Amino acid sequence: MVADLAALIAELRSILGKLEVALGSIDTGVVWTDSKGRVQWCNRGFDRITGRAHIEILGIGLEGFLPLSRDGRLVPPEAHPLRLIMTTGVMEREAYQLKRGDEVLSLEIEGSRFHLSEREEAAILLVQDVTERARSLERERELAQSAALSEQKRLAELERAQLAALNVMEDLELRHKEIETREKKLQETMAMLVQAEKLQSVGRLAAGVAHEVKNPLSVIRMGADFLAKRIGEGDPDARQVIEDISDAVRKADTVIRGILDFSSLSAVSLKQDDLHAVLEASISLVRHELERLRVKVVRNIAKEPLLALMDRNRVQHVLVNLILNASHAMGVGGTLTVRAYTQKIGNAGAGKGRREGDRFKAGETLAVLEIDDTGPGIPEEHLSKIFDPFFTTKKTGQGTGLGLSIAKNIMDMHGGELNISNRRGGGVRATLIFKT
Amino acid sequence: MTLEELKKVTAVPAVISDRDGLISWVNASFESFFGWKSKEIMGRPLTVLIPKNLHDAHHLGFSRFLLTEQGTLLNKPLKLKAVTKAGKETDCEHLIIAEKQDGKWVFGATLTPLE
Ligand SMILES: Nc1ncnc2c1ncn2[C@@H]1O[C@H](COP(=O)(O)OP(=O)(O)OP(=O)(O)O)[C@@H](O)[C@H]1O
Ligand SMILES: [Mg+2]
Repeated sequence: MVADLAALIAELRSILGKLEVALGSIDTGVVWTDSKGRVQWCNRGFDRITGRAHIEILGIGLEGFLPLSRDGRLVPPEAHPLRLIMTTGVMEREAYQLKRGDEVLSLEIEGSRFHLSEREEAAILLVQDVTERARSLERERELAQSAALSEQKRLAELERAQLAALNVMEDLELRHKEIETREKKLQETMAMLVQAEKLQSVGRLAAGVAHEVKNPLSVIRMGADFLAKRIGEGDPDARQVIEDISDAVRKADTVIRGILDFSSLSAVSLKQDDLHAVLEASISLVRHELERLRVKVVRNIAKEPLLALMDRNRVQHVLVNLILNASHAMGVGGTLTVRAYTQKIGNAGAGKGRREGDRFKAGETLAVLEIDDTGPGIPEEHLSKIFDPFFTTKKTGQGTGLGLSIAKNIMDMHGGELNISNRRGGGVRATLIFKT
Repeated sequence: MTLEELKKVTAVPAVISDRDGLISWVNASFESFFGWKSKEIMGRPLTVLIPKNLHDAHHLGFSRFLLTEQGTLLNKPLKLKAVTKAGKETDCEHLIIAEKQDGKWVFGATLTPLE
């Protein structure tokens, strides 16, 4: 188990590493801040623009760190892009200047605000250094001006300007190629990610780790959404890549949320409810799977309601898990027999051979639900392990091994019981006992 | 500095972690400054020493290093905040080193308090 966990953490780390490298290879500076404008993360592009290593600026207020000016005047705090983004939600691309040492950089900045959770907000800024572009424009303008000086000179200058234009075109082509390779790199990384479907098995990660990766994941997802919006219909390939990222991350997010749910199983709220009705609802929830595996369901159940103390949704969760376990064990064409009845406890405590008999008082009336399958049963040496979290005999990626441990947890919180045993005639019987 | 040398440091807090980022060794000076007993901090993630709002960046950077084996922060003094067991954040000069032992990365650092 510990080895599994370490392997999964290593996988997750490798995914995070790839994402970091991919984001680091983009020229555009990307920086994300928390709601107070403190830098949480930035890529190498941003390091290059600011001339500082990201480690030095983590946690620092971005507004103070990035004093911007426009047309030679310092931008006041309330007009800083970060502030605009935090108040209005989005900012379209705008031109600014940033003083860095003796240099003045021309920047184009845009960004967007995101909700990480109900209470947490974050901002992502994309910062592009266009100093070179601005300079060559300036140069061209100067060229054109001086060209007006004399006819001859002008011709010569024109020729030179033409050359410069050619250069610019070459430059553009180069940049285009560069972008293409970068995109390919990103695509490859993402393909690896998706193909490996590694994120699915993240289900086994411990809650602590799950919690810690939740935030970077949502930032990545929202960053992808943002890029998708920005690219629009223009570039279908890039769009596809970004959609793949979103999909993969969404998948990971679902799994992680599942783990977090598991670790924070909150208290049940018990009230009298009809066990028959919950059973029918659960069967109907998984009817597609039952149909697919051509499972026959036999009900040995009285017509009138069977009231028991329960948290309906949680019990439904338990039943769905048990029915699916049985169906998967039986393969195609099994029979599921469900039986429900009440039982009054005699003096010797509930049931035969139950060790936790003192959980129920003598004279108490219990509701019992049995689910029998016609599968192969459970090998003796597994019986003591099936309730362990992460114990599964299913192939990687097909089962988390959390089903029974969650089910047991839920029944414990009901003050009831869940027992799994092999039937004499073959197959497994799951017995649920509720207080009434 | 090598790991060997780090293990001999007594004047300032020092810590070693494995490739999973789990703490495997601290010195006495670490125990007294950060308030953790060696036994209780063993096996815990490095993030117990890192302020909450730097966790994301830590995970991303740590992961990138394991993938690319190229560190940007190694072998040079860095002024960063560190958290004591009581939750107090203090400026420390971090000197982080990484070494491969039996094919696996091991990380070490001295954390010299600046206050
Ligand atoms: N009805 C059954 N017949 C035979 N084996 C079973 C049955 N129910 C459970 N098991 C065994 O117990 C193991 C653990 O079950 P559990 O529900 O906890 O996890 P899982 O079904 O493997 O994974 P998941 O619930 O995520 O799909 C199964 O992998 C299987 O080996
Ligand atoms: Mg299951």
